[in-house]
Amino acid sequence: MLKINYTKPEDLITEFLKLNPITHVERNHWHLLKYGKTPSIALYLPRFLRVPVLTCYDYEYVNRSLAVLKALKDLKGGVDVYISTRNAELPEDFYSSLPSLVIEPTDMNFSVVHRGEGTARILLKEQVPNMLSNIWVHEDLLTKVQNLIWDIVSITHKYYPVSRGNEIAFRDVFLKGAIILGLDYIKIESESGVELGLRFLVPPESTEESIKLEIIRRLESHKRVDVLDIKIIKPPARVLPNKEIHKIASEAITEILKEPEYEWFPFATVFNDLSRSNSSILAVGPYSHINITTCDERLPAQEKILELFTSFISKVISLLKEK
Amino acid sequence: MRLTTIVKPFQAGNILIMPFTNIEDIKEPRIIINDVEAIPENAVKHDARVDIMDPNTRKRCFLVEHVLGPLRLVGITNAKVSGVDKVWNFLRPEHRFAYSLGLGPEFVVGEEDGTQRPGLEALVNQMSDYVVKTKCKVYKSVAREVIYENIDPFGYKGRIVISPRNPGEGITLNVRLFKNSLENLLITEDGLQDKELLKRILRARTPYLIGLEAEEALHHAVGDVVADIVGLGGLTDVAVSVELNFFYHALTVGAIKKAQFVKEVEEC
Repeated sequence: MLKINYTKPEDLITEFLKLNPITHVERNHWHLLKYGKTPSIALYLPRFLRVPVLTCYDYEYVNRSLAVLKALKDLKGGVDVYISTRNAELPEDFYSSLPSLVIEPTDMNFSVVHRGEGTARILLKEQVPNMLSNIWVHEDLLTKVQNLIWDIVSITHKYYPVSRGNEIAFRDVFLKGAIILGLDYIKIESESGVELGLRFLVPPESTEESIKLEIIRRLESHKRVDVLDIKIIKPPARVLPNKEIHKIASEAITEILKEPEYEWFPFATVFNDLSRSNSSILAVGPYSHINITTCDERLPAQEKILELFTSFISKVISLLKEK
Repeated sequence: MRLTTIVKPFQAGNILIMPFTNIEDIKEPRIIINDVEAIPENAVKHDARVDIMDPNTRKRCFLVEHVLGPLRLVGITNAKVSGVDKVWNFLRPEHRFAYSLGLGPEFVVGEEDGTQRPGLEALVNQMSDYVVKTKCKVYKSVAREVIYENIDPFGYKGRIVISPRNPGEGITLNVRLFKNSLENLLITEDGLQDKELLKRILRARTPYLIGLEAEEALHHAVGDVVADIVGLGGLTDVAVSVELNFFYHALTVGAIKKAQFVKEVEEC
């Protein structure tokens, strides 16, 4: 069993450098790239480390990517490998038209659609009393805010088990396509009232207006609420799987495992950036993002799944060379 | 079994059922969904659901079991079917899959609420207006007994036995889904003989949404078994005894893919 335990981003980068000494550090130092001599395919190991706070989820996510990277290190054939450490815009000079695989924990599904991300503000127009002299009114206000938050973030559906309390694997089947709203900050000011900052995940075919309507729908039982400044910061990504890389990857996975299954990736990654200039990209990788929950998981990298994935990549590279 | 076809279009929920225009399409049981033929070779996914794909056009139809089972349960063996959904529901994994491939929502032919096909109940009440039996008689069975077992991703064991029956004897079903079971169900050229049970099956939701223990889940599962063995497999005369696990299409379609068939055609 291959087991990887890292706790610091520096360690991750050190480990990456160990794997491949020929690397190129971009000028802003936030990603590392190995240029192959005869690049035929680029493998991107994206990361979405949240800025400014690195969470356990972030570390575990990168650990999983590195487990894959380790498995791929001996592959021959001019493979470019990319790992980034920010979910940010790629530099203009980086964009590539090379057929590219973005390695993400897709559970070996193929992914050509990624949700986007955005932000919004909500104003609760309440007078904020002096906490010391009006503790009971202050408590009422906090209850309102609490209820408001839960109504914003809670997801229910008349048919599907999406609400909290259901088994996570069952929920995830449906939630990947939902508008997910989360709390970013709360600001309480005596003059303006209560302001909530929201972050959201947005599926394709959504607009800022449709997001607003969804928020209003979730808050229909609340009064004196304004929904403001809805911004899609990173648009959802979609490429159609009709390029050579998709056909080759499909042929490879069918030969090794089964007919490929397509599933969306639930949040924005470097895929969203790359897809704007390169439609020959496909996200795929072992493991699932949904069972990353704590810092203590220390993923045991099952050799079988890594061998499977390595075989898949090898097959893709050899098929690409034949073409 | 005489082949039975629909004579004019009938909409049942999110599908439109239409007659074939070419007589050559009514020489053996044949269902075509969104231009993809429902045959075992085209089944590209069979676990929690069944998808079929045309190997040439690469067009894929999702949740076809909720077309194939209900049609055969009401006694229709030959029809063209088109999905009619026009609105995306991205909570549905099949819709996300179709969107990824550049297909439209009409390629997902299962109902949004996970039921088998309640829209067919109206047809059951006016069969003579929509359905006609042809003179063509086809008998299809397994060449020898098929015994197939598997273990699903949750560790549940499933087992199915498909035994040959004589031409004209029809299909008998014994189905167990965990604690609940139904026995000695008879399906002939007129469909499921027990019409009250038929209606319950058409309305039944998938175990995926309501759990495995409910009686409704068993009713739904019976529809799915009919879809895979009788609809996809095109069988007319077999005895089926099955103990289902959770992702049971791997079991039922797996058995059909393994089976060898014998076929007799009369007066066609």
